[in-house]
Amino acid sequence: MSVDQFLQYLISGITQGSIYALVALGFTIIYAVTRVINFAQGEFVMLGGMLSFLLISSFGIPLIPSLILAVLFTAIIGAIIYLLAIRTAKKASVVSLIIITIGVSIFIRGFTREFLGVDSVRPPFFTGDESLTIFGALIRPQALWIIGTTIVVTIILHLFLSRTMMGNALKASAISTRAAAMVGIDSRVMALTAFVIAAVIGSIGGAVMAPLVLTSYNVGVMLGLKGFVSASIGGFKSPIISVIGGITIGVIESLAVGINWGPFTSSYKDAIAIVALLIILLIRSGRLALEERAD
Amino acid sequence: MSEYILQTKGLSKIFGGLVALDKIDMEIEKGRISAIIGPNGAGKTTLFNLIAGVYSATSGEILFQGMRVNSMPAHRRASIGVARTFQHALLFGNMTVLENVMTGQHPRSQYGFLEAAFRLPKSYREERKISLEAIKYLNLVGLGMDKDKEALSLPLGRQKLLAIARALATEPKLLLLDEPGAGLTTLEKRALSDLIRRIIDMGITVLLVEHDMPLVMGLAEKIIVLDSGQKIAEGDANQIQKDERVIAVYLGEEVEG
Repeated sequence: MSVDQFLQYLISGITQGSIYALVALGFTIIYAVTRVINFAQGEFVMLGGMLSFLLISSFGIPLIPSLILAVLFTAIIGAIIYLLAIRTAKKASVVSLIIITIGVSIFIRGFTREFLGVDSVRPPFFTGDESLTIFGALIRPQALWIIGTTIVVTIILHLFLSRTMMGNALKASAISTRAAAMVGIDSRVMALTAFVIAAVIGSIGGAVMAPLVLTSYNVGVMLGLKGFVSASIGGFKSPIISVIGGITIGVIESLAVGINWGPFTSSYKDAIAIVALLIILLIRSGRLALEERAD
Repeated sequence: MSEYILQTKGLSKIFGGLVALDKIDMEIEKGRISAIIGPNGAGKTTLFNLIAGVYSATSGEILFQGMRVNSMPAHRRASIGVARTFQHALLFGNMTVLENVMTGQHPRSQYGFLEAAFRLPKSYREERKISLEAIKYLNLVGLGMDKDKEALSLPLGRQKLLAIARALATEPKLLLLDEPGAGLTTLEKRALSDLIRRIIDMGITVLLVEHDMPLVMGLAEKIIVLDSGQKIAEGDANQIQKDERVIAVYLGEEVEG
């Protein structure tokens, strides 16, 4: 592999990894606040892409209002999932709640398939498709949008968590719901907030990636899995490590395709994340899901 | 409004078949220091948990400022002025000392979720204001110098002071302290007594559960004695020290221990 080629695979890996990173952020924030692993996280990404396509291509609404509406609508879906499926089952164990999220994801996928069909769709590029050349490697403008969006979302989330009272309350609730209640923080409001934030981040990711890599009703399955693996690298704890995890998985996948030797071929691309998951689970040996809250 | 900040009437809590608290009637006067004492398993912490809303009562009433709060969830009680600390400080780990106190300001800070998300600069200013307020409480308990340390890196005595600062930050009317003296050195206990007196001077009513008799006798104007879920005595330090039932309970405990 020449340097040019290496750079090319690296850029494509970072682009793909940025999408995984946004999915991983959603997993992390919901897990931190509720201890639930939300397997409907990939569906937020799917909805962001499918809805923005629907609004732009079928309803002819301009790009920016379409994006805002798609994200807003997905945020409402996130809130509904929490209010209808999670909160009503408050006495259920965390494992039951996780299974509920699997059911919710199947429902959303089926519903979308019924109404929007099974075809892969491509919303228009945000700013054309005139590739730029950086050190001999081609980079498409939509890829820059994806990477840039991930950076901006990560920074805003970081500022939100570290510099606002709402972020402070979310963190407090994540550490101990009991102690948080004692200072007047309602853990249910925090859980609702976490679902909404995860839906917003996921749908933003879905909307920016769709023009480049296409989207369809079932795109959330694989993205959810990759995001799950990325988030488990940091033990679902740190948003920053989840982002780094996502980009790492994306780059490894892309380079493996580039090496194109032995097991490292494009047909095994998706297996890399699964192998990574097995390794993570072996290393962390069950500590992951069994960690208890401080109280 | 009643002269009592807190009243319980026939308050009972039954866990399964076990009667943890049996028809407790008590009145806590506003602006005073009151204490609940009793041997282990007497029901002191259960009583605290009922007042703070961690558990709900099996029967009976809890009146806070004359208002029935039985079915009010814990976070609501915190926002109307009931604050508590825990026997084990229950701080927010991974957060700094300052951030811990800032969480206490949560009920007093005005912001909506959308506002926090879309108007970061405004939220940021709000957060600055609150951090200045939080430093005030840290200085009050003597932790001003430790504000940027990680909460759980503090020694136990200071962690307990931090929990008090966090509770004070909610601007409570009634402060419940669960064994504030446990695990403290004699010197730290003296500082704690001074701090509790300063809290009273701020117009906050203090109710404490404590095992340390000299600390309780020196501070509390009213002492309520529980044993096996029942109130067996109440009064000032002199009355309690002379009460035969109290002496019997405590001597009994000493023989066991």
